[in-house]
Amino acid sequence: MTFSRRDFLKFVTLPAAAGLLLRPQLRAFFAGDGGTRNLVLIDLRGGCDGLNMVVPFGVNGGTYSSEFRQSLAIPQADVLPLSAQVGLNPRMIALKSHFDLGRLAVVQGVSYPDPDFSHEVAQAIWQTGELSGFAPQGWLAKYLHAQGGASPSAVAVDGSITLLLDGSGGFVPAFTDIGQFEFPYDPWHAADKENRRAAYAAVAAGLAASSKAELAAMSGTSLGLLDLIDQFTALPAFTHVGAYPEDGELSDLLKLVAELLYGNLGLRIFHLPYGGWDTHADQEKGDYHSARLGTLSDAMAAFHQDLVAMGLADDTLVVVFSEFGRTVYQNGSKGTDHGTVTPVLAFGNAVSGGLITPHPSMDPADLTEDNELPMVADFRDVFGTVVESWLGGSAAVCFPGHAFGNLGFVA
Amino acid sequence: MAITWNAANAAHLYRRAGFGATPKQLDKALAQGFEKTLAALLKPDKPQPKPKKKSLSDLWRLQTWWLDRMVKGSHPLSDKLALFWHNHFATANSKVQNLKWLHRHVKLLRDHALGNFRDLVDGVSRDPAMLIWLDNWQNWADSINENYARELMELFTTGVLDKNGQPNYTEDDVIAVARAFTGWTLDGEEFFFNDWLHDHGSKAFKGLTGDLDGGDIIDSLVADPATAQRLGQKLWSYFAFPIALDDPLADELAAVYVASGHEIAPMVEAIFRHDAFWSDTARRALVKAPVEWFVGSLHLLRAKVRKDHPYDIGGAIQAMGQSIYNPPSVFGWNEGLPWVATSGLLERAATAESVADARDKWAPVTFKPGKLLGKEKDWPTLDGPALVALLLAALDLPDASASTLVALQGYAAAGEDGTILPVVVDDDYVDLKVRGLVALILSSPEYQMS
Repeated sequence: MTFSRRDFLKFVTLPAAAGLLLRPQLRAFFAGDGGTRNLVLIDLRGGCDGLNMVVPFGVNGGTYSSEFRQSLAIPQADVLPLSAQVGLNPRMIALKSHFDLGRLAVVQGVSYPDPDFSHEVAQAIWQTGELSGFAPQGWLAKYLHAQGGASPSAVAVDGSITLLLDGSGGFVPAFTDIGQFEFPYDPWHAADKENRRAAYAAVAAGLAASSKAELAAMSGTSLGLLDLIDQFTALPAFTHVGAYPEDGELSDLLKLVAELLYGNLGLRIFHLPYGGWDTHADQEKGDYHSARLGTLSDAMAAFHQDLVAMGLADDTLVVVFSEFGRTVYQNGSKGTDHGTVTPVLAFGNAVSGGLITPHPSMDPADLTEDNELPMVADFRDVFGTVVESWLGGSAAVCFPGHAFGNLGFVA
Repeated sequence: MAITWNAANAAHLYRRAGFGATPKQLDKALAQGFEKTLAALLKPDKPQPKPKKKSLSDLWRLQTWWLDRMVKGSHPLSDKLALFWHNHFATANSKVQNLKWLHRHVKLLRDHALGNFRDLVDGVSRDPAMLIWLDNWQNWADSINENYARELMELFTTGVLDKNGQPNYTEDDVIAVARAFTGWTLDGEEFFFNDWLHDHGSKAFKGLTGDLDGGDIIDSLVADPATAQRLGQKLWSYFAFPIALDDPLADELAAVYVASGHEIAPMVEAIFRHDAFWSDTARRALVKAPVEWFVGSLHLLRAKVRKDHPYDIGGAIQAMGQSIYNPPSVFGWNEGLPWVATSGLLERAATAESVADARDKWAPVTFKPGKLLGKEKDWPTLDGPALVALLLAALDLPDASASTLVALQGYAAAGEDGTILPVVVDDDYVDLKVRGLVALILSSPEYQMS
C-alpha cells in the first residue's frame, strides 16, 4: 500500500499526518481468512431514488424534469455534472470531487430481469443473487464459504445477521456497537466474574455438537462473542481524522468499521444496512432526500480520510446499492413509489472511476410495461466484478447459473 | 390422539400459549386436566385499558407499561397473539411519532387477537397509526399513493406468491386497490371517509368490477385462499414449528379458517389440539423472541418490573432487538435465530445479569432469589446437583442437557481463584451463587428455546 503525495497533502494540517498511523500486527489467534482487501457494502434499505442521486438532466432532451419529475426535479443548474447528460445531487459535493479524481465508478441502470416491486423480495434478490428471492444463503456467504477461514472475516453491521452473510457455515458476528462487548458480571461479587464466564463458556461448549441446529448455532455464537470481547477489550484506540457528519447513523457505523480495520482483527468485509430511503411522500420536504444523500456522500468521504490516514485507502472498496430505484414518475404525494433501476456506486483508490454504463433511456416510449426504466446492467455483474476483481473469488460460485460479464470498474 | 397430560406436556403448552409455567402453575394445570387448561388459555382477555398520560410520554415508558402488564397478566395468549399481529401489521412510532396512536394500534391488535380476521383488517385499515405509517391518509383520487395497497396484499393478507409459487396479484391490482382506498383518510384524530377524495371510477380487481371501495377489497382479500394459506402457515410457524407455505399443515389450518368464517381462535385452538404440535419436532423448536424471553423470565422468577425504571426496561428490550411499538420496518422483526445473533445473545446475557442481580431499589426489577428455593428450613438439605435441578425446574428447563448440568454444578462449587466452595445454601451463598446460576440459566442456549 502506498501513501500518495496527493493524499498526504490533504492531511498536512491534520495531526494524523504527523506520522502514518501504523496498524497493529494481525493477531494470529484471530486471523480471519487471511485476505488483505477490505470491502464495505452500504445497503440503502427502502429503495433509494436513484434519479435524484445521479440526475439525468440531459438524457432524452430533459424528459427527467419536463415529463417525470415536475416538482421533485433537481434544477439542472444545481446538479454537479458528471457528463453532459447526468450529474450528482448537489449535496454530494464530496463524492463529486472523488469522481473528478477517478475514485468513483457509477454503474447506471442496475437491476435484473423481471424486477420485483416488494422491498422484501427485492432485498432478498439483491442479497442472495437468486432471482426467485427465496434462497437461504447470501451471495457473499457463498464467497465466505468457499474461502473458509477459521475465524470471522465478515461482519453484519446490524442488529442481527443479514441475509447477504447468512449461510456461510462459519460465525459471522452481527453488531453495531462494540461498547456492549463486556462479559456481564455482578458488581457485588466481582471476584466471581471469571467463574461465571467459565461456566458460560462450558455451557456453550457442551452444546457445540448438539443435533439441534439452533443450539449448535448459539453455542458457536456464545463462544465467538467471548473471543470478540477479548479482542475488543484490546482494540487499540483510533483517532478519527475524517470529518464525519453528525447524523448518528451511517457515520457511527463507518467509524466503527474504521476502528475495526485499524485494529487489524482479520475482519475485512462489512455489510451496512442503512434505511430511510422509502420516500413515498414528501420526499424533499425539509430537503429530506437530498440531505440524506449529502450525509451519505460526506460520511463516505470522511471514511476515506480515515483510510488514507491508516494507509488502507488502496486496500478498501466501498460499494453503495439499494434494492430498487423509484418510479420514474413522481406520485401525487410529492414522493415516489417503488421502481426498478438504480445506480450503484463503487468508491476507492483502486476503482477505475467514471460512468461505467450509460443512463437508461428516459424516453417515455422506452419505458417497460410497468412504466419503469429499462435495465442497463445486471446487479449480478456488478457484484460479480467485486467478487472476481476485488476479492479474488469466483462469480460462478456466488451467482450460479448467471452468465457473468465483468464490468471492469475495479482495476 | 388423546394427549398424555403430564408436566412436560403442560409446560410445552404454557410455553407456546403463554410465557411459560411456574411449578405451581403446572401443578394446577395437571389437577385441572387438558381441556380446562386449554379453555382457560383460549379465553380472550378484557380490552386493554388506556395507559395514564405519563406512560404515553415516551416510548420506553409505554413499552414498560405493556411489559409490566404482560408480566402480571393472567391471559398470556392475548399478549402472545398481540405480539404476533404487531409483527404481521408492523407499524412503528419512528414514522408515526404519536404514542397515543401506537397504543391504539396495539390495543386494536390485542383486542381482536382472537376475533375475526376481517374485523382486524378493517380496523387496521382505519387505524390512524396505519394511515400515517403507510401514507394512505394522502391517497387521493387525483393523486394515488400505492403504499398501503401494496402492503395490504403483500404483508397483511395474500402475500406475494401462492403456495405453488404463482403471483397472487399484478401491478395493475396494486393500482386498483390503491384507487379503492382513496379517501380513506383522517379528520383530526379519527378515521374519516372523504367522499370527495374517493375515486368513484370503475375498477377491476380479481373478478370484481365497478366503483369498488376499500371494504370490497377487504372482503375479497380476507376470503382469498392465499390469505387462508398464509395465515395458516404463519400461525403454525409461530406456535408450533417453522413450516413452508405449501406444507399440508398450513392447508389444514386454512380449512379451519374458511369453515369458521375467518375466525382466528379456531385456528389457534386447532394448533394446540394437533398431533404435530405434540410431536418431538415441535419440542423446544422455537427461539424465544426478546419480549417473550423477558416476560417469561420475570414470570418464572416471580420478579416484577419497576415501572419507575423505564429507561432500563425499555432500553433492554430495545437492545435485545424488539423495540415494541417501534418495529424496524414494515416487515417487522426477523423471527428465529436472528434474535440470538451476536448482539442479541450478548444483550440477553447482560439483561439476565441485571435481573438476576437485582437487589436494591436502583435495580430495574424486584427479585428475591430465595423465593425459588422453597422453605428456608429445607435449604441445608440442598447439595449442588439438587440446587441446580431445583433452579432448572423453577425456570422451566428441567430438560437441560447433561453437559449443562455439569457446567452449572461446577459453577455452584467454584470459589475464588480456582478453590472449591462448599455448597452450603444460606443467605450469603444465595446472594452469590443462586443469583449467578439464575443469570447463567437465563443466558444459556437451551433456555432461549421455547
